[in-house]
Amino acid sequence: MNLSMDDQITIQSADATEFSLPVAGIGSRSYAFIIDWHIRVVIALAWVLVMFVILYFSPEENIGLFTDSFWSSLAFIPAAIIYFLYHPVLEVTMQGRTPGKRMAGVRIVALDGRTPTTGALLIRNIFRLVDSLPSLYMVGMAVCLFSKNAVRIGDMAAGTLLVFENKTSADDFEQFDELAQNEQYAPEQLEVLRSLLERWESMEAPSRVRLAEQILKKMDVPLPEQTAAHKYGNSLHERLQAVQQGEQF
Amino acid sequence: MSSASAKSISSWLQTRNKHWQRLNELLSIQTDKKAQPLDEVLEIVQESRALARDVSLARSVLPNGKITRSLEALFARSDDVIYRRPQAFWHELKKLIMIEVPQVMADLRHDFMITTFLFIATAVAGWLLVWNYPEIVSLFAHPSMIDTVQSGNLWTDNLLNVIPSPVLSVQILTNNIVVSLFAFVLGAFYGIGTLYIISMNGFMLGGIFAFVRQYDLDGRLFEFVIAHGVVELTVICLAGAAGIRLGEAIIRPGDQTRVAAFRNAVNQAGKLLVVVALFLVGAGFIEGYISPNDTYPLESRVVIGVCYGILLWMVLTGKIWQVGKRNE
Repeated sequence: MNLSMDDQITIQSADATEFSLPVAGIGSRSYAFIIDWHIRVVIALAWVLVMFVILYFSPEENIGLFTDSFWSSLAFIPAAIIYFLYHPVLEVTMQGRTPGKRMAGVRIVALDGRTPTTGALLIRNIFRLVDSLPSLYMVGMAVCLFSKNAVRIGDMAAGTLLVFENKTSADDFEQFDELAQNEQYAPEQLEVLRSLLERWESMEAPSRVRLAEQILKKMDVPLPEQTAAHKYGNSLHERLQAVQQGEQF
Repeated sequence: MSSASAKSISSWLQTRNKHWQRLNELLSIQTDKKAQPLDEVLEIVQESRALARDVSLARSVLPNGKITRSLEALFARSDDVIYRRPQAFWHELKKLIMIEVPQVMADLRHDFMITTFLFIATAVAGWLLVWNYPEIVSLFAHPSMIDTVQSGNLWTDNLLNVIPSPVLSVQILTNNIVVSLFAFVLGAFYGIGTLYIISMNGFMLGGIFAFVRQYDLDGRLFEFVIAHGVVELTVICLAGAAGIRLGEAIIRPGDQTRVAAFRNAVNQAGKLLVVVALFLVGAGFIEGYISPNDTYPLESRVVIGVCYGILLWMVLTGKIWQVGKRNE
């Protein structure tokens, strides 16, 4: 199963273990970029505003923020530095992440799945000059749509890509324990069952009933008696939960 | 799946789960702080090796499952922590400048000759065109600049009264670094972008000199340009040479795929940009402090320009690092 929306990159580690990382597509990439863009614009503007306020209350008169070159450079040079060095500096110090990427749940990795080198991160940022041409990152987005691993030119140049950062949470381990306790049924079927139960409320009644029936049949669990539609749905739900608890039928 | 294998998977999960949990904890500590006790580090290595087997098992028994995905994510994290590169920024930078840049430069000598030739040729073309058709200058010079020259002055006169040196230096060096970076990265378009940047710069330089010559200001413009110009123009041609290499890699990737050839070319030729950027910072300050300052006579400007150029050349070729050694 290799849908373009669900691409993976398979990596072989130094001890020959294969593992795969889910590749982040153009959507998550743009989402992260837009968040980052807002952050850096707000910080840069805040700096300019602070300088403006300081100047406004300063005793010296007749100094304009835009006309006096000393003050204007004090206001705009740091703002420009914040705006333009935001990505390279944060990507290096946060090991391939930025606040926006973190929120979008993505991270930059090298082709071997590890944290990219500082050089690679700098190269990827220098090539923003090309990717952002002619405006609004059009070149970058176009290349992203057609390239392998959905990367822009900068990533091709640096040998990096964006992947979804799956953090293993305490919740996962609980779930593993739950699966381990349940010796009656195959774990992969229990996994499917669990994901159906998690989505139960948000799914339409006919589809969840159909899926529940399919899963129970596959697990050789007898279906509950056919009754009125919504009651039948409820009893299916109960049966799924019972199976999850390890009850035998 | 038979219930026997379901049972064995359950017992596998049961025995291994606490190890995964432990590894997860250790990794969170590891990313939070720099130094960690040796026994914890060894534990990470041990747990990660064991996890590697679990990942392989999970991939074959439960493909596409949540367990597999979680274990893979955990393994990716431990792999990243264990094989983390040592932090040796200054050491790497020293190696880059002293050893790698001279190698790259030797490799790029041919491309550098091409871009320099192109730059000179377009400068001559610009000169000839503007000399014969002076109105062309309005294509690339600002009207106020043209007015200034026509009234017998250079736009660089009184520059320091308008913009103080520090600001001017920062503006100039930023601009120059961006232009050099463009000359490099536009090589990604089969080298055409690089050729365009080099030719435009050459054309403008030649054209402007031809234009000011008509008002007998060329000597003064030369005086303004010489202190910083040697390095600045060399550096544009250098960045262009690196850019050409990118185009070359895409057009003729050799035995590699295009993307791989491109990546290698960026990695190699891009090293030059570190030196280029450093020298442009210096050139920016020369252009901000010395060039617009009338108290410096022509001779000292020429000396500064030429010496700075020689310094650049010695760094690029690595000769400067051998100076001390020969004396030993």
